[in-house]
Amino acid sequence: MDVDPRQYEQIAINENDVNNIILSYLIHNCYKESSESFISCTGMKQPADHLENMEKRKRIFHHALEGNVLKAIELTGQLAQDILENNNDLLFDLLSLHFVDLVCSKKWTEALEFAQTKLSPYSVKEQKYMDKIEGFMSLLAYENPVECPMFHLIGLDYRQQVVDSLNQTILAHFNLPIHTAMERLIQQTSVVRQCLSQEDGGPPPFSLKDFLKSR
Amino acid sequence: MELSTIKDAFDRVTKKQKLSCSKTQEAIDQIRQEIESVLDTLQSANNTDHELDYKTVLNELKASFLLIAPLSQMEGTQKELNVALTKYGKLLEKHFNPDISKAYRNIDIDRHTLNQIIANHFYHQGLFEIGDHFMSVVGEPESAAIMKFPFVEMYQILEAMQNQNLEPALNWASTNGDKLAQSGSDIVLKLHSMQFVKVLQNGSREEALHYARMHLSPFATSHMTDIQKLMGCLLWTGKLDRSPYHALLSPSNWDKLAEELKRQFCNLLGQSYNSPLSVTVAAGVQVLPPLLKFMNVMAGKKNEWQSMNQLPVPVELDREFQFHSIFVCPVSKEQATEDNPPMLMSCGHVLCKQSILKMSKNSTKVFKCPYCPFDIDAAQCKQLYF
Repeated sequence: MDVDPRQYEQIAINENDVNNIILSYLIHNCYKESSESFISCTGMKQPADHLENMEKRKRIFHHALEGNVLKAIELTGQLAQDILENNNDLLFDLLSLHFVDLVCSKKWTEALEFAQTKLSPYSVKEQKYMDKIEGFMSLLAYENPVECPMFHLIGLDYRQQVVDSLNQTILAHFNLPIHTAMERLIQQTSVVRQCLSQEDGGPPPFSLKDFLKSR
Repeated sequence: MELSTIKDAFDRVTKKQKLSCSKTQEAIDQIRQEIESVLDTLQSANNTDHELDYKTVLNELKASFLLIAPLSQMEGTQKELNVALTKYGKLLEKHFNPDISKAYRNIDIDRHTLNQIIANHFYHQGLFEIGDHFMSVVGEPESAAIMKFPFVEMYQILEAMQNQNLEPALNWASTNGDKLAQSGSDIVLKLHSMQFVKVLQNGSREEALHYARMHLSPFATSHMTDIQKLMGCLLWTGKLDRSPYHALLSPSNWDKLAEELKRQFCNLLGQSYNSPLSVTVAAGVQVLPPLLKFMNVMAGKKNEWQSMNQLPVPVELDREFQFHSIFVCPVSKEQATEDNPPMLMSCGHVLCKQSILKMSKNSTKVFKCPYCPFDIDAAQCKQLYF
């Protein structure tokens, strides 16, 4: 069909597509109860193994975010042996999260022991690990790590980033999309609206905040 | 100066001398051998009834001496030795000017100032006993004590560092922390880093961690890379020599640190790194050859040399002796002075003030830059500071 992009408001959306987008988001982020409610209300059909994997991912996610990284690593190994074995970067990042937890708990000696036995072996593999280890070790130079110029390593943003990476790796292992359909849609919408706005008389660039406000 | 040529000539003389000596010894040995043989013959003859003709025996001895010809034996090597020795003498004359007094002139210098300079040199070099004795002899023991004290402290610190003891250095750095920070020196971090490595080498990880928090963390903002590497060393406590950071254990680090400390110590005192006297003598030795050459050229104008305040020939010093830039005017060929400073013209070239005044006829007219086609207004020239 030959449709003028500026006439996007005329495009009809299939109800089932909308439901799939929403369910994709809920499953990706381990909203189990919401997913189940949504499925029963809409009458959609979903394979049971999705929900089972979601439950396991949820527990891993939870442990990692709450500062029990070693448990998260253990559960990930139970889920599938080779998820972390084949991903040195991710395993290193998870181990470094545990190191950060020890530092924040003021368990200096334990942190040093852990770094020496678990992080140090990475330094002989590649230089990038050496640089990262040095950054983490500098946290130890402060009674209160927040004073360290590398304090972002103990922040929630960094932790969320690592945990998101873990979640994506697990999803990829089970051939599930690592990005939600919602995320992709917003990305594509932003790009398309950006291109259109550069033409004469095009609509303004897409802003999710403005979009939600206008409804 | 090329000393290898002189050494080669000296070696040749030595070689010839040894050869001549061995030849002489050989000849003497031969003579002694003949004489002893004849003596044996004469003595043995006394024990027999057979009458011996003494005259004949002595004549035979004489004939042996003629046959040996000791003088002609030694003559050759003696001659060669003399030739080499003569050449060596000429070479010395050529390379070592015996009359360096031509390259000096008398100046009046305050005796007290001269004594201070000499004493400062002794203390600067750590020769405290000689310095004390010197100042005692010249009758100035009070000023000696004042001059001597900081150098005693400096050498105590350096001596402790030679034994890998940083405590005196760290105390000094702590006392002078503010001044060192103002001068932009990072020696305090270097001292603490070295001490931190020592603690690590002793295998005490908790102590090292405590030291890092106390002394290294204040530097993290400005020296993050250094701090990160030092903290990385914590993973290798007790086995730093087998770690990626083994370079921190190099003995040359101590030498560099000691030199850096001495430099900063002298800097805080307002003293130069090397003693003024040693710098003066070293620079003087370097300029002596061109000065002597100049004096030979000026031989007939002794009086003129004595009165001039600036050499008409350039004298090049090594970089270590160049402390400040001095501008030389390309027009007048004179060095800039406070009364005649370098001036930056609007075209970007530089002339001395007096040259500008002359070319602009005391700022009354526009003149052309000697280097480029620009017309220059003297009023727009600005003084430069090096």
